[in-house]
Order: sequence, then C-alpha cells, then structure tokens
Amino acid sequence: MSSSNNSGKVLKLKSKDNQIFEVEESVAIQSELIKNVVEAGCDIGVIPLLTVHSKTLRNVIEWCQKHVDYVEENDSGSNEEEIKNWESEICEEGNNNGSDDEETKNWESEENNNGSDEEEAKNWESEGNNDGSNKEEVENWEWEENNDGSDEEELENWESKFVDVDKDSLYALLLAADYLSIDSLLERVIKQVADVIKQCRSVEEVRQTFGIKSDFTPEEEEEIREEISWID
Amino acid sequence: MECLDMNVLPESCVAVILSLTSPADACKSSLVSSTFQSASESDSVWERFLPSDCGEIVSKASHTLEFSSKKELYLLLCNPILVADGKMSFKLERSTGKISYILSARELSITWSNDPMYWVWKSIPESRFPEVAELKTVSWLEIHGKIRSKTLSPNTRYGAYLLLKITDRAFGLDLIPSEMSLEVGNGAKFTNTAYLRSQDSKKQRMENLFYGNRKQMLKSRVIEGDDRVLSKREDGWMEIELGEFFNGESDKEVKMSLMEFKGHQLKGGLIVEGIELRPKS
Repeated sequence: MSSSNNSGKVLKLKSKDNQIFEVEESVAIQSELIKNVVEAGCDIGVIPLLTVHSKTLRNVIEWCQKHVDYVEENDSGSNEEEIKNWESEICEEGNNNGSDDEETKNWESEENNNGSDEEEAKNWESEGNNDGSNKEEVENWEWEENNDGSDEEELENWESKFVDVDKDSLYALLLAADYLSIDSLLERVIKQVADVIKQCRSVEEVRQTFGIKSDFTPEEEEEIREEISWID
Repeated sequence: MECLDMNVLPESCVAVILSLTSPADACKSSLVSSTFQSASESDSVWERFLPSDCGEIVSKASHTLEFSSKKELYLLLCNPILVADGKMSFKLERSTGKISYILSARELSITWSNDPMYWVWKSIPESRFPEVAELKTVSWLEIHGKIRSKTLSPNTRYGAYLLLKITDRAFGLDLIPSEMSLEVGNGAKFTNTAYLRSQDSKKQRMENLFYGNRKQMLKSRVIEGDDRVLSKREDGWMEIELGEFFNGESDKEVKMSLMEFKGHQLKGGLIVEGIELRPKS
C-alpha cells in the first residue's frame, strides 16, 4: 500500500534551542535542504537547523507529515493496476460473446417465428452483452478513486487552518519554509500574507497587522500619497 | 518565543507577496515602508499583473511605447492604445489589470457598409479611430462583431457595448426595437431588445399618444426583450449593452450583433464607433 519512499529510516533534527526531533526520512526530505544533506550522505547523527526554533519546527514537521500522508492516500499508481485487473475480470464475465450468441440462436429456433419471441430474443441479447454499462461502471469507479475532489478540498481546508495564525508565527513559518526550502509551505504562507494584505483597508492597518514601522519622512509620505491618489 | 521583526523581511520576499495581491494593493503598499516601496516597484510584481500576451500587444501598437520598467509599462497600458493597424483599441483597467478592447467600426461587419448609397466612412474628431461608419439610409440594419475570448482576461465577467451617436437628423431608428444577441462558442445565445434612442420621457409620452397603436403593432414583430435605451458615456458617445458573458479559461469565439430589419422602414443618422468589451464589476 505505501510507496517505496518509506525506507523506514529515521532522522534526527536539532532545533535552534537544542531540542531533538526524530522524524521519518520520507517526511523530512520534503525539505530540499534536508534532502540534499541526505543525498550527500551527511545525515549521520543529528542535523542541526540553526535558525529554526522548536515551536516552529514542530509545526513544520506536522505540515510535512500531512503532505506525505496525503500523497500516500492518493497514490494513483497502485490504483491504476487494480483498475486494469478489475476491468478485465468484469469484461470476461459480462461479454462472453461466443457462448451467448450460440445460446441465443438455439433459443430462437426453438421458439420459432413468433413476432414477440424474436423481440424477446433481441432484448435478451442486448442485456447479456451490454458493453456500455460495464465500461461506464469502470469509468465511474476510476473517476471516484482518482479524482476525489473532497480529498483535495480537505487538504486545502487543513492548509488554510494551518496558516491562520498570528503574525509572529506566520513570519516564523515563512522564514523556516524559506530556509528549509519547503516549496508547498512557502507558497501557502506567502499566499496567506498576500490575502491578509488584500483585506487590509488602509496602509495603517497593514502596518499594524504586521508590526511594521514606517521609515518615511512626512514629506516622502506625502509624495507617495500623491502618486497613488488615483486609487479609491 | 522571541518577537520577529517584519521590517527585516527581504525585499524579494515582499515582492513575491505583493505579486499575489492586486495592482491597487501593490501601489497602496508602497506607503507601508521603504522596503515595501522598493518591492512594489519591482518587475517581478508587475510582470504578474500584465497580460500574458502583452509582448505581442506592445509590438502591434500603432505607436511605439517607451518604458523602463514593467510598472511603467503597466501604467502606460492603462491608457487606451491603438493596435491592429488602428482597428482596435486596447487598455487595462488600472486597479485590477483586466483587459478591455474596443473593436472599431472597420473591424465589425456592417451589412451594406460598402455601398456609399447606404453608409459613409469618415473621420471625425470625436472618434478614437481613424474612421467611423455613418448611416445615410437603409432599411436593413445589421451589425456584427466577433472576438476570441483568449484575448480577454480569464475568469472575468464581460459586457459587450455598441458605441454610437444619433445625429440631429436621424430618422426611423426608434420606431421598432432592435434585436441584439451575444453568443459564446457553441453555447447558448443570449438575446435582448433596445430602442435606438436615449431616455427622453417627454418625447416618449408624446409619441405614445400619437403613435401608440402603430408602435405596439410593430413591437409585436420583434422577440421578447427588455426594450432598453441608449445611455450616455463619459467620452461623449452613447452605448447600448448587447449582452454579457463570463469568460472562463478556454478560447472561444464571442459573437455579438445588433439588427433591425423587421420594421422595413428606412432609417438613417446613426454613427457607429465600434463595440467595446469591458469587465463588468
């Protein structure tokens, strides 16, 4: 069931404040930085992550674990094989053309030349060899297994909750994702910050939300306000 | 847990963040701090706001555009420019970066417009294009326009508007409603009706008094519709909405038309500027 990624190896990661975290390799290598360390064979002992605090590291590990789990659950590879086997089984059962045709002909000649009988024979034929519904069934099953919209939605909702945190935590996640080179996390955090900015109704609100101090002189500020006066 | 200072966020990071907001937000953000100001000027931000085919648009512009940054290019494109040999006008909506096009009369297909007995092509100062089409007299009024949806902004609701003027000597235009339609690809065709005149209640009341019956009879020849009237624009032209559609991500042909020939009466005094496709809020 699980992919070959899980070699079962466990890595030791050390946070900035000297806490050790034991993490499965498949989870840890979501970070390009750690992946490079492993590939270079330097993953003996403990991998020090000098700029990441334990509180943030714990969250980052949770993110990586969730994404590894998601990929495993939706691993299309094994599904495709399963489908092919199932397909051939069904098709063999339902579409045994040879014997059906023969049977039909025998039955037809038995009952003999009655309008309604011929009709009945035709109906029976089409029922027995109805390729259409079998194929449809396979297609539906395929679609369900591989395109489960709700799984993706569930991940998106989980991600949104994950990044719905105070600005300090968000900032810490941003720096950690950048340092550890975890694209999925970096992308999501950046999007979150952008969304927060979009919702701020004024520049002052942006400053307050992110704790940013303006370093403009009053004259400079006035100049910029002039430039952007076209925005309503 | 130490308090981290967002002031120390690198400019490149801020630029990526701003590129995910909107042109208006990116400009507003320049006030936040000097890092934000610097980031908001960066090409990586404005490249995301520019249309994907803007290189092509710039190369097809009737006048060469000079700019030294993507932000400058963006602001330049927020003013209308002529493209395609002066037959179309293009611009971006400043706060959102959404695309608007105006197809000139030459870009449309106007039945009988080749015959100077019926239509005349001329230059007038009020037009943004080299030529407009003026209706002398015709009984069969038929105007068609089309555009590929991929040239417009994706995931946007658009309205199509016929831009025109009615001269003082106009006649026969508002006797019977015109029929308008908008069709996207092979999908549903949306139709509506409009009287080619502006809102003038006093005049209408007089008309209803004298011609009420005749108008009712003529109206019955036409399809069901809202019977809209022309509205005034800021640029001095009048417009009538031909229809609206939601532009998804696939490329389809959008066809728009206005027709009036069920009245059989002669009409004249219409000046056609073109058809505008602009985002609807």
